[in-house]
Amino acid sequence: MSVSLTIWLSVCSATTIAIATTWRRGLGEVRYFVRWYLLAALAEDCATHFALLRFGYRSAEYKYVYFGADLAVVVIGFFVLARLVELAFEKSSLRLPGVRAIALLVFTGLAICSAVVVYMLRGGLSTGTLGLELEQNFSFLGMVLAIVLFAVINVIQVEGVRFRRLVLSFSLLYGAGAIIYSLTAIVPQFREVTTYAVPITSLAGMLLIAYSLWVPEPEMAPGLTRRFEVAA
Amino acid sequence: MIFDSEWASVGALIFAVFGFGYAVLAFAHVRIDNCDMKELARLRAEGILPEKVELIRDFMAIHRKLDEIAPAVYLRQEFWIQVYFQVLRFAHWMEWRARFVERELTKLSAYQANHYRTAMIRMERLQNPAL
Repeated sequence: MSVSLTIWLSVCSATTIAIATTWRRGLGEVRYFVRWYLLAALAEDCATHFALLRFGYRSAEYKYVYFGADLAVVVIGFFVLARLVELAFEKSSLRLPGVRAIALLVFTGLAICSAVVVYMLRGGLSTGTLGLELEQNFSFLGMVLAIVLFAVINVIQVEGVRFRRLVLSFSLLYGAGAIIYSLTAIVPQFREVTTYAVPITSLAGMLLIAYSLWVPEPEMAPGLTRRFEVAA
Repeated sequence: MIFDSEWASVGALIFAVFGFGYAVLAFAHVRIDNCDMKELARLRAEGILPEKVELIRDFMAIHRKLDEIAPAVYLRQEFWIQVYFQVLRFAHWMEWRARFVERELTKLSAYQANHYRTAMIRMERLQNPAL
């Protein structure tokens, strides 16, 4: 069994386990969003693996599939985060209108800025350069957004261990990506390591999401109440 | 590379490492943040804890009580709580970020107090299965 096949099978298995946990009882509305995100991630894994087998690692087709699918999954993850923000605010007296529209504007703005900067500094838009720039910027943004969301959850005292862990899983998933892509940008020789580091962080991220959804809320004694709880 | 700048990437890397570290710690710590803080007051009202708040002594008192009954009701005491408590106790003794340390110690005691309540309920169920 080749290394790439082993990595692919491991990541697919972890994603499938995570998808299965979304059917666990006691999960709220957020499971549908997480399930679609995980299904998109599984589709991405399959598409990139088959593109790798068919066209080869250095082919333009593989780069199109890899960067296209990966960025699409990252953006879907942002929409899951936006939905988590809405759910967190739903039970509080605070109102936060237009979260999805703001999120869409932020992603589009960041993508356009990244493309313009790469075009102006490099004189062209190669798939690899633009893809790496977008991957790094989006991973960084994702990590920051997830940490901000976690801080908001703490400030408005939204309770629910699963919900908090789910937000932190996304933060860790994006944070690991931001670290890897930043290292690749600073030390180009790190690119060889990136080939293996990216799927390993995906694997860890999927297992964290699965763990967050699987482990039930801690046992509460009768009469004890949480302030306002978000089912997730 | 963030906006094609190596320095921006270094900044992003430093921030990402801190963010990642924070998320890892928060992931482990999330159960303490989520516990019911009122449980400590209930234990005080029931006379299980002394009326006067004393952070270190309160935690140790609940921990000792849990030690006595937890094995009988199949409740496992988490080792990391004791480690975290010792770290906070040291920080408290050194008077580092006193308010943060005091808040964390209170949360930790409340977390243990919730465990104690759960253990007591399990004990009651064992003694009176009809309930």
